[in-house]
Amino acid sequence: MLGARPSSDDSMTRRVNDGDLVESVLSNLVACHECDLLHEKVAIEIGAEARCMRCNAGLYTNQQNSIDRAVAVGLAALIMFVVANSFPFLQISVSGNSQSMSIISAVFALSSEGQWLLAVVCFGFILLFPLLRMVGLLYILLPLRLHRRLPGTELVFRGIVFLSPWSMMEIYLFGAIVALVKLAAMANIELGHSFWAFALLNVLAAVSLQMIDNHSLWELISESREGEESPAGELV
Amino acid sequence: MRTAAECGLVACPACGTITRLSVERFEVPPKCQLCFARLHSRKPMSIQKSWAWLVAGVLAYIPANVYPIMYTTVFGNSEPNTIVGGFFVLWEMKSYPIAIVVFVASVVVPVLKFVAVSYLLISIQRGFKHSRYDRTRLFRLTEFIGRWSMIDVFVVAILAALVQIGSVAQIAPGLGATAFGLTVIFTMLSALALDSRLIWDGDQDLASVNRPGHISGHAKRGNNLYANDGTPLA
Repeated sequence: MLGARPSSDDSMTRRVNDGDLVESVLSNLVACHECDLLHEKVAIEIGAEARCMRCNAGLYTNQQNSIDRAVAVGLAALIMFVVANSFPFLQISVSGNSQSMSIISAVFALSSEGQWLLAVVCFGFILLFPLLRMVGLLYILLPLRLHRRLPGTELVFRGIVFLSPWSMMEIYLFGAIVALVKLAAMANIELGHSFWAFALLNVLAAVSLQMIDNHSLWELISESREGEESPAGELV
Repeated sequence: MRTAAECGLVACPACGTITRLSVERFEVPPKCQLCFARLHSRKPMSIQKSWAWLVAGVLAYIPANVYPIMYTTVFGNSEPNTIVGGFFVLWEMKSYPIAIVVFVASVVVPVLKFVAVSYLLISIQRGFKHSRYDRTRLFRLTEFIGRWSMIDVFVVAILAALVQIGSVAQIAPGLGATAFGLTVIFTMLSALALDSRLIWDGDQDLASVNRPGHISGHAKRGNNLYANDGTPLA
């Protein structure tokens, strides 16, 4: 629709076409990402979600944008990530013989039997992408907390959005549970420290997403940018 | 009410910022002025890319079922396990819940996804006008549920890492696991390439949405609706 000309009988269109008004009007609009319907933004109460009136997709939420809490949860998640990867994840024993695995062992088990392509992919889904998302979030939030911005904030933000569907820690956790049930009949199973740390990590990741989704993260970034552009702006 | 495209506007896919597309203001391809993501009113080549990934997914699903996803060795006897075979073993062991989980994740979800994405693509190409809302919901379901099929691959990987008990029992992953992983990835890419806004393009029922005095955006929490000026509706 590059350079498309809207017809003139619609009030919203007319306002949008009114030259200099464009920027201020546009910032008050939101387009449904699933059906493209334009909506005017309305104030909603904290915890509420605005939905598209045509297709019911979520448009935006009003999350309490508390950077402090988001940073706290983010740091806790990062620590849990380290803990979860430092201890045994699961352990089984059958007639005196025992074997334990850490989270990354699953990746090695795939690569050692020639399924290296799958091993690389799983390494990304289970470890690398979730880690990049966590670190990326802190890379944006920590400087915001200090009223600063590091270079590449936009790039990191887009990276987080892009990686969202490919981060599969919670699926791995359920995979572990299914594997345990499969083995329960034939072997003694022990859950390692890592298992609980990993479960907690998943809870923290869910809480973090609940507190600050991609859209409100962008709101935080753009709010800080407005601060930079203010006349006082020594922060640039 | 109009769509962004009808007003010559485009929403940034990453940050949501609305921009007016005009030839003179933007380089090609246009980028979001705030977060620098590539802007496009509709995902470029959406239908073609989605079909291509879907076909790749279907093709990968054949070796995923033909080749064993893992080899189980118990006291020296090695046995290949296919996806469907694993389900039957669990069923005979009377582990019905797990058998059902395995069957749903590895057979029902992929096949339903093939059918659902094909139907959505055909409906867009043929310009179906009916049940746009239901098709959008189908799209959402496909998008949400697709990644959970990876659970099968993870189970194999975890079993292979854990069951390495010398001469007693060993489990090794097979080629079928890689093929199945590729099926999941390809169908996820197919759903990501599919632009759901195409389902709604050409929708002429906007008049009903644009009743005078009707809310032009509403917020939901439980049963609370809010009008444009923030006053609660019934």
